[in-house]
Amino acid sequence: MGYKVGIDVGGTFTDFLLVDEKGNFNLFKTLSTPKDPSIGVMDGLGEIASFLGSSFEAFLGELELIVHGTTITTNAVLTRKGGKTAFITTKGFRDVLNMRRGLRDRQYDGRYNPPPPIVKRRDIFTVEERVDCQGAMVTPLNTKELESLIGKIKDDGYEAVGVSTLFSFLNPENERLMGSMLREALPDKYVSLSSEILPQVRVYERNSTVALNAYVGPILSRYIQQAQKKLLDGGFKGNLLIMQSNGGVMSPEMTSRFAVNTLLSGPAGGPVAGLFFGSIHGLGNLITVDMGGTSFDACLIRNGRPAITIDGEIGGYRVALPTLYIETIGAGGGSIASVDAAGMLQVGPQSAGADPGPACYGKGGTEATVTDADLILGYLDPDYFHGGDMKLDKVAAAKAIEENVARKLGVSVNEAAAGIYKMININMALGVGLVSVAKGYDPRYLALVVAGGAGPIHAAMIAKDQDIPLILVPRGSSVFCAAGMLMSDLKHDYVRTYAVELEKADRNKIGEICVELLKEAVATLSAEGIPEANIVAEFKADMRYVGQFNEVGVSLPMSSERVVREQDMGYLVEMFHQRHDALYGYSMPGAPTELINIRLQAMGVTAKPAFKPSPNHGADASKALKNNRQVFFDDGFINTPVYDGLTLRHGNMIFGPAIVEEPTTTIVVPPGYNLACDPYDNYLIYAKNRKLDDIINELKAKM
Amino acid sequence: MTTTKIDPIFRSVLANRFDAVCSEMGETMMLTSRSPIFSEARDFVTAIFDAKGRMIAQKPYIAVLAGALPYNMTKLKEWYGDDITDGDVILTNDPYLGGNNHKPDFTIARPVFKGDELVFWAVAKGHHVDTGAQGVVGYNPTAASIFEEGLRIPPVKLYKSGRFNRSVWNLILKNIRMEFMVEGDLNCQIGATKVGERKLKRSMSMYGMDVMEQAIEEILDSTERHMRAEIAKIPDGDYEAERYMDHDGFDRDKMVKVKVTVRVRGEEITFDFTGSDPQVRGSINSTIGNTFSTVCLALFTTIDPEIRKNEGAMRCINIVAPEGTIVNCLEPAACTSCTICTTSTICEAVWLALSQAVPHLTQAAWARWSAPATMGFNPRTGRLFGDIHFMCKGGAGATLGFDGWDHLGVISCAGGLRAPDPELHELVTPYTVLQYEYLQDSAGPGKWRGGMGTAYSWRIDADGILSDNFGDGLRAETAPFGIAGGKGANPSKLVVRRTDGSTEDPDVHKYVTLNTGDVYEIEEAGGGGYGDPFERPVERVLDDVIDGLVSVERARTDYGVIIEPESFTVDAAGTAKLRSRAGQQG
Repeated sequence: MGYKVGIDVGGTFTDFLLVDEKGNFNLFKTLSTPKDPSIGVMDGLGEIASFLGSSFEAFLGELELIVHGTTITTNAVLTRKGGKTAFITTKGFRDVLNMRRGLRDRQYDGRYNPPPPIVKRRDIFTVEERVDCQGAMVTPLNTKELESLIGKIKDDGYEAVGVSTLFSFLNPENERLMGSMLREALPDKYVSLSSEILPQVRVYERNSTVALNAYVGPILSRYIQQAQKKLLDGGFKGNLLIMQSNGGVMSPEMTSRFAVNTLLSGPAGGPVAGLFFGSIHGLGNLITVDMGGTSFDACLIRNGRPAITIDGEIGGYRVALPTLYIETIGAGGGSIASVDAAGMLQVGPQSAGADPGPACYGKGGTEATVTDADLILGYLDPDYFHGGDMKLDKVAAAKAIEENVARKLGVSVNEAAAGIYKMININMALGVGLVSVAKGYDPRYLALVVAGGAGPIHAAMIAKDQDIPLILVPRGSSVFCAAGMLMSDLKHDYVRTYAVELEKADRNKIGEICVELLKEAVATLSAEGIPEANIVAEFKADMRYVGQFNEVGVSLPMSSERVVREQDMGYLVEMFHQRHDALYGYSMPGAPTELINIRLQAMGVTAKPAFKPSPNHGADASKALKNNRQVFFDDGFINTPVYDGLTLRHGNMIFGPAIVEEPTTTIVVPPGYNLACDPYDNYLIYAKNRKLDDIINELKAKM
Repeated sequence: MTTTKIDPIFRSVLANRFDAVCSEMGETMMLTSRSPIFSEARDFVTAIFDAKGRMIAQKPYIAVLAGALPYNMTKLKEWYGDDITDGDVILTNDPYLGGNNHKPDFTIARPVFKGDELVFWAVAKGHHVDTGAQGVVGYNPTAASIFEEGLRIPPVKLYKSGRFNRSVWNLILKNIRMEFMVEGDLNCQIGATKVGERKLKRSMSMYGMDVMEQAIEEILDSTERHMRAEIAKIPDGDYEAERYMDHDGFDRDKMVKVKVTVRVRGEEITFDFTGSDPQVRGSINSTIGNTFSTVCLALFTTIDPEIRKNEGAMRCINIVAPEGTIVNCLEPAACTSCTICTTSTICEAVWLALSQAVPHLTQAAWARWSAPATMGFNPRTGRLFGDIHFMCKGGAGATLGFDGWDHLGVISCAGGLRAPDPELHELVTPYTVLQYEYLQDSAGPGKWRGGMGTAYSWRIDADGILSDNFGDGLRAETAPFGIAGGKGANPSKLVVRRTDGSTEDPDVHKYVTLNTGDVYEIEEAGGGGYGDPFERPVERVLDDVIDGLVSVERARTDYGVIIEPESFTVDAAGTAKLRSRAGQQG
């Protein structure tokens, strides 16, 4: 039997999703082992083996694919525990990295510290060299200077070196020479060059990306090597792939070189999973949201492609490589509710975390949180939280809300709880608005895919606020990310800056750049075992009106032979005007435009696990009815039926108001909404006054 | 309308919505603007006003623009009275007729209607790259009245009832050199207010205007209560301070004084500028809108930073600014540099006064702005360009418990000004940047030191480029001060090195023409320090020395820490002795 496993290493738990050849799947959880995460991974694999009644070696031998998501690099940056890194740049520009473009977010607040540097000034060196803004060599590298610097790097215990020089994206000669000298003299150091990682205009953004890559490169390389060795020793003969921030996966070898690509990979499985669940119903325009204990992630998917950004950020530093555009706001079950000095209710972004957590956890928390409000309002059952593993203390929740919110606002505990619920929903709805409306996409033509333990309690209200017609809650939505990993394709991003007014642009040169990028991509993907027929290449042009400082990404049309024809240039401009108009409410047809970058996203399409559909059991859901309880909707408590999610089957219908309980999540179906179970036992929630088929057809029509 | 108390939760929800609308408008501006001044430096503000002209919410990327918006709205209402209809889009840049800070800022206001009733205004205001003035990016050091500061635009309708007014549009753009940039940025502002209108209308349809109106009253009233509680924490008293500007560009030997008495009585606070110098010939005169805005900035950076910056907060701030003075100039005084020079000076005076009352809350002075705007023809691109050298960001002042932030920029922007990218900068301008780094020993020493200033220099690769340093802070008297025993920072220094080996002092408010091969060098000041530098922990002084931010010599003289320059070892005994001797003297 061939198995596939998705492994999501989180801060507390490591989640495993096992899928067999027949499409049966099982979930497993082990405690994470932050010091050496591979221990937790091996423990989990061992557990799966014994669940299957197989020996560890036999199970590993039958394992075809492991997709591994890791936050080891993310944590290293957040806790500033990366390797000791030297950073080398052009003479005269030592501090661009740590100036961070001179911004402070809280403008009126003079009493807090900036993010600590990832590379201290003492570890930043400059060398004499210079390329001008047209790519001409002005000052060749002063190799003597670099040699003495190499001596210092050797002696002072650096693990990694990041190199980024001015205009190296136009002419990498000096930088490459630096790279070869460093690699030759320091074979045991991790050396990362901007011309290899991100050959693209903007100094700080490039420096920051390279510095981060160097900072986490050694840690990740070591970890991957250890994990690979343990797996091989155990008899693993399959493929190991690592999750990336762009929603794709990559081989261990690429991972070691592009360590920075894992920094924002934590939530990246979510949108990919969302895409899968959407595709069951033929839907490709979605917003996936994931609400956990402390944060809420929202990501837009258009025509089956998750939104991408080059404005990623971690620990106060920028990641300018393409990453999934996931808007994260401080809203979760643990978000703290308080009343500020002006008498305004605030919910989040502070969180009570998991320890002490919400007051109702009874672990000594005294702050009022969203989970406390959800409990008071009857959405949560105090005796069935985490399937009953944990008892919730309603008295403590009421006390926390009374003291921190109700009394200060002069309202009852129930009113205060309803207020907390409303506020957090609005905050999340605004987050959804940021990824859709603010980007020019109308939420009325999107479906909301909801993950995370707390998400489905709030989903209907978010959808209502943003006029989203359909909500999809996957079964077992709390291991959403691990599922997404198994569906991910190999994905690599390439960029070349070609800054030129479009009228003066050389189409042949654009074509040549595309061919060059594709060659690189094919070489990489072939090395990762992808046949050329399975490679999908998408070219984009970053365009703007002459003089603007921000670009809009537009598909770059060309012939199948990668020739950019005269008419393609016309389409390109036309698409740019349209996209600009959709994004920002205006366009300037006829105004001169310019090209900045040419991008390629190359995907190596992998075989996806097939999940098994279940037969239709009919609309009657009465078998799953557990009991009734008082639940708050709109203005008051209503006697509301509670269903057991594990008993619900394909075809079952529930008419709101209702509650559906799974061990790790609760789904709230407000009055005015229906819930239907799909062939994979996922839940679809939609307004009563509409027909499900009509909604789905309309969503499909708008694709 | 009923007067029942509105649900306190709805009030909170709505306040959040208004903030989000302002952010989305700002996002639109940032992403669509053409001039680097909007998109890279974020020199703009977005806001929502109600029908009564009260500011409900704002998103100040550049803090000092925001506080003057209420003056804009008052003037617009005066100008048009009832002659405002759905689909109007109003523009003004007039400091006197339009209530603007100064002319380079173009204010776009769009009324939002519910049926026939005006209910809101969506406003976007930002600094344009060219106003058609004789000057550089709107700065003209020879201007002795607003008539020499570029095109004067009293409130005009760019759209009347949704109909585009091409005549006015052309009249404005044909008076401007960088037409295509200004046109793009005007479009981007109009687009932002459209986004604002769309969002406000959605809220209106969700909640209904009646309840929204009541909630707005409560949002403003509750902010006022918050503000009053904060003012009450400042001990009653009269606190006086004076600060100076280098000069006005005409009388180069005469510094110009701002004097303030901050009068605190219970929950009331008054900023009395009686005793400030009369208005001057040059462009450093501050309009009342700009002065009020600066006072808000100085106060909001001292008290609880979380206070909502709306009309409710501003109600509690009283200003006495005699007409015809440097802080309340009368038409036709020139005023383009007021948002930089005069704002810094007013802010410093207020902080210095407040430091006598609440030293634990007050900041040491930030570096003033001291770098030029430049403009000319770029042969590399075949286009005109105009730029403000925003890389030249000085250090912020220290506060109790915190070093000032490095390279944060002038206080007018309060850290919201994004430094441009040196590569994109070179792609647009005929320049080669030679140095862009922290400037050693630029930070004012203190137990908490000021933020680092910047060493910035560039070579000019074209001829006939006009420049004007529209900032100041080149004198000991105008350099950033320290507080609570902290030391000040050195003044900024500028020099232009010509190809023949000669040098020219660009001073401030003075045209300097730059030609191929010239090198412009700037040492931008750091921020002032807080508390006795001899009390700064030795390890932190050592860290700064190892990082090259503080020299070995200044570690000894400023901080009393003796460090061996080769090995960076601290002479503990010598340091203790040096520091105790200073203590005895003190």
